[in-house]
Amino acid sequence: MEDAALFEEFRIEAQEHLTRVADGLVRLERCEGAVLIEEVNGLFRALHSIKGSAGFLGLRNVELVAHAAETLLDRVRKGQQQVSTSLIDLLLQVNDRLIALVEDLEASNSADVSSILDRLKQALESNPSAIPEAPKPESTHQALPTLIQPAGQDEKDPGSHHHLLLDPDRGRTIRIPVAVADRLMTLASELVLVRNQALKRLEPRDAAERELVQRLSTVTSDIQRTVTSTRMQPVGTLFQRFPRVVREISRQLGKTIDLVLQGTEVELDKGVIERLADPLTHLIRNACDHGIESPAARLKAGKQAMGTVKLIALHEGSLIHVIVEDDGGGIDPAKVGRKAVERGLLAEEERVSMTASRLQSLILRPGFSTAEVVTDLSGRGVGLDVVQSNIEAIGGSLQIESELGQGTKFHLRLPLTLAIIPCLVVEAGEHRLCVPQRDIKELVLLDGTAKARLEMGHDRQVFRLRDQLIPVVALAELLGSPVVESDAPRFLAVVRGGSGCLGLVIDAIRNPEEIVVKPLHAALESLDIFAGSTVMGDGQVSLILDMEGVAREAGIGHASAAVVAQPLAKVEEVTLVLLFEDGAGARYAIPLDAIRRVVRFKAADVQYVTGRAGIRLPDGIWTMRRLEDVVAGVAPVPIPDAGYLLLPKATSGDLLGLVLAELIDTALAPKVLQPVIPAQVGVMGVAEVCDKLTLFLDPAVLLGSVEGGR
Amino acid sequence: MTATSQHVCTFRLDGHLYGFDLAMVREVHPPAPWVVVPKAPPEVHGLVNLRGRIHLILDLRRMLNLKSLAPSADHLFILFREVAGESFGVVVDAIGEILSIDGKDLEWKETERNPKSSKLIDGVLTHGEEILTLLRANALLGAMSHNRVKQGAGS
Repeated sequence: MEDAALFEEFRIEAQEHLTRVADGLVRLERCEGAVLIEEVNGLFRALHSIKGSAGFLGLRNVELVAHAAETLLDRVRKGQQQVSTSLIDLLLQVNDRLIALVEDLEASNSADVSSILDRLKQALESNPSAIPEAPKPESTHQALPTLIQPAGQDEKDPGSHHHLLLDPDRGRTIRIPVAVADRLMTLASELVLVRNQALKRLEPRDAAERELVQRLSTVTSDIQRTVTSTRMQPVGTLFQRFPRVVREISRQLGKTIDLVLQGTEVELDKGVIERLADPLTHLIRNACDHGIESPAARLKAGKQAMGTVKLIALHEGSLIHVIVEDDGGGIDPAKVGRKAVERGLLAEEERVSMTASRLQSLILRPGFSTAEVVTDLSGRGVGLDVVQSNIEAIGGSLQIESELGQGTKFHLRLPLTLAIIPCLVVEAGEHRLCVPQRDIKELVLLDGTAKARLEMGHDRQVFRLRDQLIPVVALAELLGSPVVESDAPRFLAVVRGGSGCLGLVIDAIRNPEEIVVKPLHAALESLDIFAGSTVMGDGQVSLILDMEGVAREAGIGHASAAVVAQPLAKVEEVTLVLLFEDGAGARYAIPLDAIRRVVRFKAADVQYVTGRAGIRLPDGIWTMRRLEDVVAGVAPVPIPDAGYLLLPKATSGDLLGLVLAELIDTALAPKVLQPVIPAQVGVMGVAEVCDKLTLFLDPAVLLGSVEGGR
Repeated sequence: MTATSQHVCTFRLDGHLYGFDLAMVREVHPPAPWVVVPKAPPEVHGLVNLRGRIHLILDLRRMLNLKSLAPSADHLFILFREVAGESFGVVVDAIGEILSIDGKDLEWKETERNPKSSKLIDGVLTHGEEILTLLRANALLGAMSHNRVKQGAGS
């Protein structure tokens, strides 16, 4: 079946061309002169290429339609045809028809294309050429007469059959099935796992061995990074559909709107892009519909009649920012506030004390958007709560900035990839489970004191969190583990779920870990309490909890909207800490007042004595300790080529320093920490710092106790 | 198709002799630590990571309504090819020999003891002194009960 492969090749190629054509057609309306001719030439080439390949493959209908459209474009090119809205509409329809034909190539030859051909024919006849057709020997594309003839018969263009093979861009990319890419991803993760296990066992004896192990380690990390990058796609593939969306909406609304795209080359995980399409379409429609004013209103406000919507993508660190910005009327905080009070979402006293931006973000509240609000409030906020929850479902966030009269900016922050997410590993009954960190709002230690205990409210357990009552679910019980009465302190994880907050009682908190999410086995799909599965550092499978599913399973529906809006409490008592990572994504903090200093070192500075790494500093030779030497459960990472050595303030006589793989920053952190259970020597506790769960270490204990332990 | 011959991978479960069509079997794997799936149908033994791929392991004993014993200490996993379904396998007590059987040897019997287990059974034949029951690997995933027991939470 070589034919099948050729057809598939053609299909993919034609689809790419047709997307470009749709994109170009929308731009056509705005162009003039030389730019217009350039655009038309581009469209012409794309259609010509489709026509040529279709003719070669005997796809007669595709060929006929492409040829007719090409003829029409040729006349535009020669200045015989004006670019009008109706012409562009027609060509867009032709493009749609071609997309449909190409989608199902097998059936394309038996499809009925007469109506679209008739309309193309009409378009050509109704606009008789102003200039008599000059015979142009170099042009092989004649206008009307050839319209209903298969192009291959009248045209002897030797190039046209070879587009399939000679596209200059083709050599730079290869296409592989998604299944293969996914398998590579799995294997790369497995390789990292094997590497970690091997590093635990291997004790390099000499420099040569050490170098070998280090190289293996680096190559492994590189492989994983590279394989992960194969899942990346430019956001342009998503953005390019929007010019047409904007064009259609603005026509319906009688507005003129220019869509400006920026950062189309920014890359995002395929999965994120797929799940971004709907929310982004909603935001763009919203900006055109409710953001941009009518031309008359704009002129009255001293603006240009043409409104502008900007769609911008930016890459910053491990986040992608997508911004939808309009220069429309903005959101009136006073109006929003009044409406929210009317709708019972807000108390009058609250409204008075709220800042303008807090008031504006009320439009994201569920229940704010109803048909009534649409008319009254120029419709800001139609279903925006849905957009917000969609964005949050992929681990992102949505923020609104708006200035009355100046415009509105929707700011999306998105994770680079869906495939790897930071999780907190917890225990409930005999189960070990992963809770995505994006779902965790805070952790509370239930130590039985008045402030931290569960109460019975009506028929279910509740927890009083700063005057908010949140429903509580005992995770172990929910998962069917036998109920064990014990006095051991447990934790309450306050998580997002069931359109509000939910308290999850867990027995123990293990370490934070970055995990590779794998879909749950198809036969287990009906278990909606799990979002997926993963392979942990020890090679065992672990299940990832889905908070929405957990809330459903526990029969928790809607929590009060007030809980959703409640921001995290600010902890007053703070201390300055040094943040660092272990190279595998886990965060640690050490209070600055426990640090003597941090020195930078290179591999060349490190000396080995009886298998121990040391480094000479002015005050003596410091022995290097890696994180995994002193903290249980840390993934082993070899001593990096260049890194930092932390020297503690207190030493027990021996000069011991801690190797830090990656310094992040210094930050303010709460003084009061949640303890780790089971308690670990040298671990002070956990807290959330800069939105990440962070393990607090006491270097004095860690580095003091090491020698005693060995 | 009575005269075609077929290779059968035989195994023991609860003392009985069973077999799967060898064409369905990908490999026999030594036991690996598995993770119990809470709230899963009772036929689910657990999930295991085998070379980076997560496999669903089914409890064949339960599916065949055998006396539900814990698997023997030296149990094994039989893993199936994709033709039988997405990466999955079953726990067996011991693996037997590969038999080549002729279609003519088969004493096809309808087993109607249990409507659920009979769907899994392809046929029965005598092998020496013993009865060999042929099972359909590709019917296993479909035979899982999805109407899991509802357990009201919290009450």
